Amino acid sequence: MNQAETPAIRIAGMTVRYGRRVAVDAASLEVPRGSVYALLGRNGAGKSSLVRCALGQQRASSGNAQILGEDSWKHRTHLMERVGVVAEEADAPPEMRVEQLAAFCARLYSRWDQKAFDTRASRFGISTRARFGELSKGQKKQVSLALALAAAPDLIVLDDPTLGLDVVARKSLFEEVIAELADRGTTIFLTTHDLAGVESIADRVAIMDGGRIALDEELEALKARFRRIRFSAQPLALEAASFRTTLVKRWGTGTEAVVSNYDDLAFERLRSSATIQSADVSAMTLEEIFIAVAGEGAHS
Amino acid sequence: MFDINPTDAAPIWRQIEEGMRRMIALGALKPGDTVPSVRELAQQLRVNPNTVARAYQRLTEHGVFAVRRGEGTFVADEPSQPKKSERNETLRDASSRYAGTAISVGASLGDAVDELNNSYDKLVREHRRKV
Amino acid sequence: MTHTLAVARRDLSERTPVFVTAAAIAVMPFVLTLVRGLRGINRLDIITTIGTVGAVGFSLALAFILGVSMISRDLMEKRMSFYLSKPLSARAIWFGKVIAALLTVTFCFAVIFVPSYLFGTTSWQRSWNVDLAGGLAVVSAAALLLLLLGHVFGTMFRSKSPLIALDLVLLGATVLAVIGIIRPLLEGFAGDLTKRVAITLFGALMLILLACGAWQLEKGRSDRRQNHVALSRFIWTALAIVLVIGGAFTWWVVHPAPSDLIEPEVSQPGQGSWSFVFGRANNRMDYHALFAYDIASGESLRINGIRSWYSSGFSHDGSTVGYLKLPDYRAGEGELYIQPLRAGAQPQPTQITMTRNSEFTFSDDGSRIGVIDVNGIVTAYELASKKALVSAKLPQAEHVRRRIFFVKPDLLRIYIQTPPYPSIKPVASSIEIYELDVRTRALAHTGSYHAETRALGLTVSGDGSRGLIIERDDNENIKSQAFVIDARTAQVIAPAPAASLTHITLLADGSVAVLLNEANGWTLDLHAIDGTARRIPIGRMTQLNFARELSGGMLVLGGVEKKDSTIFVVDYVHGSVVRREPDLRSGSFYGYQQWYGTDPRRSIADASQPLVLHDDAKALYAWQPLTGAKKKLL
Repeated sequence: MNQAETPAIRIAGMTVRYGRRVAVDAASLEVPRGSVYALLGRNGAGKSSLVRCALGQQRASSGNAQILGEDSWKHRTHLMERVGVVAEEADAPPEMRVEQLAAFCARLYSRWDQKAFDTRASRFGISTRARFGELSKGQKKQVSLALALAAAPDLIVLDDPTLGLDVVARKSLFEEVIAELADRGTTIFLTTHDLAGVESIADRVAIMDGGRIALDEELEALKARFRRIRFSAQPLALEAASFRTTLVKRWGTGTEAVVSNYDDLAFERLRSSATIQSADVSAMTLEEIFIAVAGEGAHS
Repeated sequence: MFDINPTDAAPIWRQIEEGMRRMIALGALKPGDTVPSVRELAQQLRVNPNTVARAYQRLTEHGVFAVRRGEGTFVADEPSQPKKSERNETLRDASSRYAGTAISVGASLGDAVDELNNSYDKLVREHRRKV
Repeated sequence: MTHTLAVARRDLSERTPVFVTAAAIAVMPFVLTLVRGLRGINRLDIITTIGTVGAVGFSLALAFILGVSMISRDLMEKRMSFYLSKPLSARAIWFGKVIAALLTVTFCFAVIFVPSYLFGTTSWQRSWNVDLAGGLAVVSAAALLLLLLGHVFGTMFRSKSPLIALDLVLLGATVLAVIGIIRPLLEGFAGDLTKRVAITLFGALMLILLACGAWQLEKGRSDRRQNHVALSRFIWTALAIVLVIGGAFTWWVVHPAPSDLIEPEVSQPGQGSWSFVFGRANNRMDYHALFAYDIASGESLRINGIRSWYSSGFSHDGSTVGYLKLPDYRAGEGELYIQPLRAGAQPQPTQITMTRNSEFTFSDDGSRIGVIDVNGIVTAYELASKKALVSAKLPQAEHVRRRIFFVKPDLLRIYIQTPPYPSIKPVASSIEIYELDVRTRALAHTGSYHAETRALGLTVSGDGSRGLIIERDDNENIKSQAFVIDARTAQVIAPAPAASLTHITLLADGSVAVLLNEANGWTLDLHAIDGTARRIPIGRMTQLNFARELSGGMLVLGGVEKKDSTIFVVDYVHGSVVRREPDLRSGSFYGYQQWYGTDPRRSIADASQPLVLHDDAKALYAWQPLTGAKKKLL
């Protein structure tokens, strides 16, 4: 496999245990190069543990992770040369000034671009003399992002990057990330709760539920196969037509069902068979799909 | 230029492709005009540049866009229309959705057609004003 | 390296408050000199004292605090990911932080210390009386140690892992192991070796602590508990290796063979063929070992924890040795042990308490032991049952020289001599003679001898019946004298020729032998009991360094003339020198020192037993006086 084909991240059979609690359960996924990969999951689903192990910051109980083709636990030191990380909790020392942080990073990365950093910092409106601890949560994330991007990484990992950001900051963060991807083909791996934000930029999504990867596919395909169907009859007909349904509930006098293997043709046939009256099919947002897969009462 | 609805059933690249074709059809984009770069459009629409690239690739393959080395992407001198079969398929998709919506609100075919007329005119008029 | 320095620089950038504090403390001594109440004290003394105390105290406390926070604070506050998400190796992170901490401590120390030192240089030297370089070295080592210990402490205690219990247990085990390594060395009186071993162990500990952080971070990364696990594994494994090596080293040190001793002191064997061999062991610095060594067979028995001049002695038949075993090298008293002198025999405790200077002796048949303790109480013990048969308190206990021997197994005779050592001027001196009877359980005062003399000497004949008194004076007013006395009552029997009081002795047949250095060489001058006198010419030598009577009327004399030495075997009954052996001299560096403890009797060795002598190259030989056969020893 040549360089362009090795996945940016490959996780194989990773299990992470804390005592008896299983935080990550035999998770496997691959992040193609140059793609935007979004890992979704509720709080406590195991996303942060997975990310830490993927980055070689923590040892998984079993399984392994590779970044850019190399084992991330063994080769963390030189892999981090090409990986930018924006952590969920800002971990830079609070007393350090932004310019000192940049100077520190400049000494560590061979591809450091100080001008890029300064440009981004001023674009975010952050004074480089400010101490990191004095910045707002959103500004801290922006600084972290600027630092990560200035090192011209091949892969950027963002752990819940929009947490605590207001709408404006969220949009600008995604803009930066998108520009980076467009300019340099950087692979973007992010975990998030902000489903609306990633809906327009993710190539692939994975949903983590109770430590397991419940779903891992291209966003487009995912959205193509999920539909919400409202109709005024019993849901049995749907199952008879071999639709996989989840989240079936009463809606008015009829039924609302989420179908996860929707197919236009099959549905037309069903409707024309006249056992279903006034069926209304609508596409689902990523958020709605997520709730169907990983929400309460989902697990089917 | 145009809006993208991420929650729409149609994939984003399809929406971009359609949006571009609409702009050309309305005359907002004329043959030979420069087209925003993948990066610019991605930032504008806040979508994945890969998605934009995919749409552009399809448009280029179908002869709607032309790429000139070193100069960028332009509207082709003779932007081709979609093949009839493709056009019909697209219309069928959109119309079946529209018909379904109409039926569900209890509208008659006549009302549905009237609304369709109005929307078409409005779009053409609006765009003329912009241009 | 650049990454390491980048981390160091980063850490240093947040230390400004620490430096400010140091500067404030630096100013303090000078400010204090202005305080009214302290005006009376010398200004310079205030500055140097407070400056030094402040510098050392602040630096050491700072070192520990920095050590605790260096890594474990980032682990606690989940900020290690700041470093781990960058291309920084665990080594760079660790050593960068250590360097930053050391620079901080050094700088703070300098800031506080240097001004006060400069202001009062001579006063500093006077107040503290330490070598500046040495003092700085000690403070530096202490600071580094505290820094690293702080780190270990911080990682282990703040991880909230139950592993800490195991760590404490292993710490206890380590301390015990170190004691186990050091103690046997001290029991061999190896002060220098012990110091070197201690410094080596300390150095090994420092290296382990210096490396532990890099290992810990590489294995534990951002996980607090995994850091603790990795740290514990590394430290205890490394320490175990060091201690095993140390234990093996100590084991090797404390198990030398007699042949490993350098220029050992060897006693002359008594009736048997066993003697003591004592000396510094080869390649073991100042570790000393004592063996009971069989001259005939080369077998040896190690005797631990004593020095050659402690209370010890061989039984008359040479089959048993008794020695004082101290519980540790500093103790003043211990237990008497009896060691049968044959291979494989184990030393047996007697439950008899003795001090280093206790007098003790065996009865000739080996069944009894006589001991005088520090309080002047004399006791006769039955060896087999370890029971005290009879005890009595002797009148004088201090500033005396006491000597004892068993006249018969049931009769112990005690000589108490005052003063114990020669004086500069003649003083009133005395020897009091007592006998302790086992059957009557009574202590009887049987005789006393008084003289005004500088040095009073007593030798008793081999059969215990007669004694030779020597009063040594060498000025015009009092002349040196010698007398043959009754060994029990101290009654003077006859005067002895006083021509040579250094070389005079009682022979087995009761005659007095004097060795005279005359123009044509040494001559043995014999005065029999019946008064007859004979002379035997010996040979040329400048100095006598060895004299020993053998059974069967033989006398062995050893002399040196510059570098040449000769041993003469004299048959004094028939009046001739029967053997001359060149190049041999006394093997015991204590010269005539009697290893038979406190027995005043002139020992008579078995003529068939070899003597221990050494040649000019200090190699030891067992030499048969009758046949001249030589066997190399050790």
